[in-house]
Amino acid sequence: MDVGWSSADQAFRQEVREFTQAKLPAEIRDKVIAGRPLERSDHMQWQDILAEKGWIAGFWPSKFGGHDWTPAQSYIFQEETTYAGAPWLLPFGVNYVGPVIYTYGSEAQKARHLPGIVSNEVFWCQGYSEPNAGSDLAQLSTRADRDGDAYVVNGSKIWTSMAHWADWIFALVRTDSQVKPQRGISFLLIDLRTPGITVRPIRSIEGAHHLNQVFFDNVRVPVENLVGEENAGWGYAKFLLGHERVLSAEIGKGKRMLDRLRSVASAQGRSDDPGYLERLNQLETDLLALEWTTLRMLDAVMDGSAPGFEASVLKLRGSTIVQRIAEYTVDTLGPAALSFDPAGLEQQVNDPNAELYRNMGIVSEFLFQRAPTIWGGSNEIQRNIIAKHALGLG
Amino acid sequence: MKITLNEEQSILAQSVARFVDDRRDAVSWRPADRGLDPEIWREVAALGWLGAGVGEAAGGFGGGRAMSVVMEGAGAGIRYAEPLSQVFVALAILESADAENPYLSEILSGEAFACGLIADMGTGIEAIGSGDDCRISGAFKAVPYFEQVDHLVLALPDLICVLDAQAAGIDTQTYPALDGATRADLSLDNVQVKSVAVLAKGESASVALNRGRVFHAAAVTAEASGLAAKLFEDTLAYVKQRTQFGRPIGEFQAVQHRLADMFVALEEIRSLSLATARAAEDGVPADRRLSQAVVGVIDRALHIAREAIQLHGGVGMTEDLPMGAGLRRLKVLQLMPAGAQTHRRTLTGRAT
Ligand SMILES: Cc1cc2nc3c(=O)[nH]c(=O)nc-3n(C[C@H](O)[C@H](O)[C@H](O)COP(=O)(O)OP(=O)(O)OC[C@H]3O[C@@H](n4cnc5c(N)ncnc54)[C@H](O)[C@@H]3O)c2cc1C
Repeated sequence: MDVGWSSADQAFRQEVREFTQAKLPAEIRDKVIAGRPLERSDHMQWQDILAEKGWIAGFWPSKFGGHDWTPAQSYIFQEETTYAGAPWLLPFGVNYVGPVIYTYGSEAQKARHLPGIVSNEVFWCQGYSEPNAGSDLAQLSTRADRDGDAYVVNGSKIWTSMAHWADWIFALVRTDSQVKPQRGISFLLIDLRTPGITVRPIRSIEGAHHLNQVFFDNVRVPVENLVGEENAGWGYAKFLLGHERVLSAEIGKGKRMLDRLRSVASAQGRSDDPGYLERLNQLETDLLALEWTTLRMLDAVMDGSAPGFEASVLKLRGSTIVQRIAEYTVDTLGPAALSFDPAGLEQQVNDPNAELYRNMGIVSEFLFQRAPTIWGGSNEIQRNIIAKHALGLG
Repeated sequence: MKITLNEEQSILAQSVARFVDDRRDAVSWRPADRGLDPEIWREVAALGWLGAGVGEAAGGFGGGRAMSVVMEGAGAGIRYAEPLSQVFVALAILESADAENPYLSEILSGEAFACGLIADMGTGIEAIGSGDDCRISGAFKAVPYFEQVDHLVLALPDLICVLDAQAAGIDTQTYPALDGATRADLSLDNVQVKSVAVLAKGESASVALNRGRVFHAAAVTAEASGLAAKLFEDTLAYVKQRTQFGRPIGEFQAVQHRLADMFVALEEIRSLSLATARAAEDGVPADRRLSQAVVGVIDRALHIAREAIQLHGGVGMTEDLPMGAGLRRLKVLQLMPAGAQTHRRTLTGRAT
């Protein structure tokens, strides 16, 4: 089965594959494949390698440091690198805030912030969700009050992935509370070293630390860090969510995880077990359906006929498929999945019990994979979008 | 029909529930921080819960049903359930083998801590020789709290015996486990059984092994039932209170249907758990239906745990709530030796 990639696309795939094979450090690849949590330095090391090649922001317009990749090229890049075991290319700068800045930002903001993303020097995080504003993001209440040449920010953001590693946060803040909620939101770029910011870690169920709550206590943010117009932030946020959702199709990752499932089954002596084979077939079929759905939608995006809800379809299926593969891999481990030590996981303890802890990353990943159906617009919200916008119900 | 609890059992259920509930936010669902907390164990013994597992002749006041009542209540507090369940299995085997053996009173009083190991939990288990020179070899994986265990109560098809956990020839590898307990993989190499520690042989051993099996299944299903109920109730309370889009999320029909399905699953869990409790009470042989009940309960409880996380949103992913600990514990009940996965394989006729 072949969708008929152009010869340029095929050549690009080959180039990405060879580059990744040659340049992805083995220790990082092994961690990714084993499901062990990555450190900041692991992400940065790989992204530095990509930055040097000019591949951090391939899909960006060349005038901002990208290569004008087509959606097909972005897809190929993502599939090839993740399948090979490269860390997830952190989206906060390159996929989220970068496009918002080059689309809506001032010339000064473009000059100041885009180069740091392309060169992988600045680590960004995303400050959208709040304790009382999750699915209903428009209810956010972190406020920014104008005071001379600055906004004074008060409130808190929660579930802020990797805020403890980040240099900057892009945040949605309330600048008008008298109007319809969506119309009083602004998009601010905030240096995390500004006085008044504290980052509190939140421990999650798989034993790692990547979530945080970020508190703002009279934080002064220069007005020139406002993106676009005041009170127009909701539009920029929706633009960004579109970018966020297209990413969630996890073809390369799914394939990589299926490879691991096969090797776990073989190590457990279950490769010929009919129950296992039936389940493996189901998972492979689900992934095949997702892959071809992604490709069809990619084609529609490229010829401009995309209906607008394709990202919801891909998010819904991509998140659950990866979730199922992760859990079934744990099931296939059987009792070998029982040893688990979050402290050891974090300290990357290998000896003296390496044998016992070998599978801990698989278990940790299974637990973490409960999250993709919650984040980025939960799967319930995606179903609402499909029902409303694709089906005209309600 | 013997469906409803008698008065004594109802009181027991309430007192266990109250005890666990009082400790709910403090410690009950949190992992046991590795070892068994001796303080907690003394408390449990003093409350007399252990007597629920055996009849009067053996020094208790209960049997299969009363044991299930305790396990269901303890299920909502993960750190109580695991040590209780292994002790109940040990007690059931001991009572069946010889209701007057000295181990029973020691264990019931909380002086000694025991672990019941049934043949189904091990691999390559062999008893060689007889009389004063009986020796056991083989392996048991993921034995909980082994460091605190005094007696290993072993139920094999034609031998019931008690091994000193410190006996020569038991090699152990201890590790922290997914449910917060410490567990150990044991490898037994010609471990000598003292003749006084042989409690039954032949036919009466096989009866005791069966009892161990049925009590184990009943303990697992009752615990999962209590745990699933807690995850369900917490989720129900949460969707009534969490507001998004100007109303409690429980007002969205999509959410209501999910809760309704969880509720139906929980009802079935309670039914299957009752079926195993009756099997334990009545002393029937372990059969396919017993395995089906264990598999059915754990499948449904896992569904409830996954839904509980999802419906809590981001906060469901944190250790501030019991959802993750519940999912991890249920995964242990699924994957541990003689857990739901073992039963599923028995049902489909595949060697484990
Ligand atoms: C691991 C992880 C990382 C994250 N990283 C970030 C980050 O870096 N930055 C950031 O800003 N946010 C981040 N988030 C937050 C994420 O986007 C929110 O968790 C998500 O938007 C859901 O919001 P909530 O948690 O408040 O849940 P709620 O909105 O309270 O939802 C609770 C439940 O109700 C359901 N629900 C809500 N409304 C409806 C409805 N109308 N119909 C049917 N069901 C409904 C939801 O689907 C969910 O099941 C992260 C979350 C996780 C879990």
